[in-house]
Amino acid sequence: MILLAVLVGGVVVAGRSGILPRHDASWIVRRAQEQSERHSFSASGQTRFSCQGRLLPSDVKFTHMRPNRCRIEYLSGPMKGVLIGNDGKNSWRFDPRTGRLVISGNRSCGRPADRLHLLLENHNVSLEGKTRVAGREAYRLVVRPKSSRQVRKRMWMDTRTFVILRHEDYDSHGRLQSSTRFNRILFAKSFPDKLFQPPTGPSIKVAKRAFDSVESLDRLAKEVGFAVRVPGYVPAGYKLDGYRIHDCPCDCPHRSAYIRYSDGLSSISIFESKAGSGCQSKAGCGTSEGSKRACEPKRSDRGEVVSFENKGISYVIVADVDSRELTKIRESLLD
Amino acid sequence: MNCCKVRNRIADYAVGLLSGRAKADIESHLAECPECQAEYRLQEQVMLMIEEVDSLEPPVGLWNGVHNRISATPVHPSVWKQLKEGHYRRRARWSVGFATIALTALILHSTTSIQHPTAGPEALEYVQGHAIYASQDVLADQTALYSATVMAERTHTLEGETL
Repeated sequence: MILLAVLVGGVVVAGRSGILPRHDASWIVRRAQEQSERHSFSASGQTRFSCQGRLLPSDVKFTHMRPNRCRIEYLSGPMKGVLIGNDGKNSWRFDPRTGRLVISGNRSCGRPADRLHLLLENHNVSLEGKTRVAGREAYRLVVRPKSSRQVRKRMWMDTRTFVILRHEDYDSHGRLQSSTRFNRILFAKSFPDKLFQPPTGPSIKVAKRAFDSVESLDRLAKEVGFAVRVPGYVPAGYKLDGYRIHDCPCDCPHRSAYIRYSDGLSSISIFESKAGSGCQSKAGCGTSEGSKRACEPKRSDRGEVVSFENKGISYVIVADVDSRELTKIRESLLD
Repeated sequence: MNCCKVRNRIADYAVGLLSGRAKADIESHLAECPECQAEYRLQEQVMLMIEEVDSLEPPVGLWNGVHNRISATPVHPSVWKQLKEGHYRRRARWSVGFATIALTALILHSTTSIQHPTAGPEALEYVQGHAIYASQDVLADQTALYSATVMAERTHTLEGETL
């Protein structure tokens, strides 16, 4: 009995010290999920995001207070001055360039646990070793779909807290789509509540956007006032993530039905609205009326986009999937 | 520092994020490498577009300038040219014509690649919505995803006000 206890103890110690390859990648990702709402920290670093096919950089400061409050400040580059936050009840974002504060109710900084299962079901997560990020030891992990060898995500996780210190996201063609890297991170017990509140002031234009979830397709149809169609085809591995009502950001009364599918890492968004019922904004960069110089997420920046009309309903599908798959989804909505 | 390394860091350099040796290395490389210089200029142009999103008109005289430069393309003189001046002059005209067509095709291609036929202006809000929800996914890089969202929203709002 004593011998058995010593043996088990030895294995545990060996595992903790890294002698045994106990830290399998899936285990690390699960731990990250469990721990994501347990730490409060302030980190600074750089983010890069894809815009018109180019990666634009910005210095950022990210503050997270457990369980679900956060604040992101963009300190340089085209995003300079932008603030994103969540006070635990509402998420908000403020852009000083437009003077617009958008408050979206009830979305937290946390990630639903059920999506983790989907992620691990559809992807291989492999541990490539350990390295140092932001002065801390970090696991280097790679995520690939089970259906291909294409890297979709690399991430570096703190070995002690499982906070993600660095991300690299790749699109379905293997191009780097965005990255964020913390150079410095400080863990703390708490931060002032004020930090997570949206800015106030007479010149700030406040807009509210609802992201109401509805439990069924029938309910969604009642809310938007037309029969909502679901695709007859989605690529293997994708599962229904939910039905929502999507309000137009320009504050017009236009509402769309939003159906979302996810494979745990990537998603397919299908928006449906009555044809001609939208605000029909002529704005939008990259159009003949608008600016060819402005910055708009294009097909290559945030996934493939296809829009079409059928029987009086406008459909917009956004997904980072192969264009042939997108065509199949589209065709399944036309049947 | 080689071209690959410079191009990986040129975006940082363009917005003044680099200092010290990294900055000096890139500057010395740019002084010698016309290809990286061109990349840097392109990067600066992109940054300028974003900074001045409401300034939509191309510079006055741009197209005339392009046309003039094409028309002024020198044709290398040769003995044969002297002997067959008329023939080469015709060929030079053809060359200029082809160059004009090629340039026009290039401009049209770049314009139409921005105007993706399926991603019209009304799709912008949906792409933005897609990114917002993606930020809630497991392991999502919220910082980068929100950047794309805000840039899309900024464009939508500023251009909406302009038009």
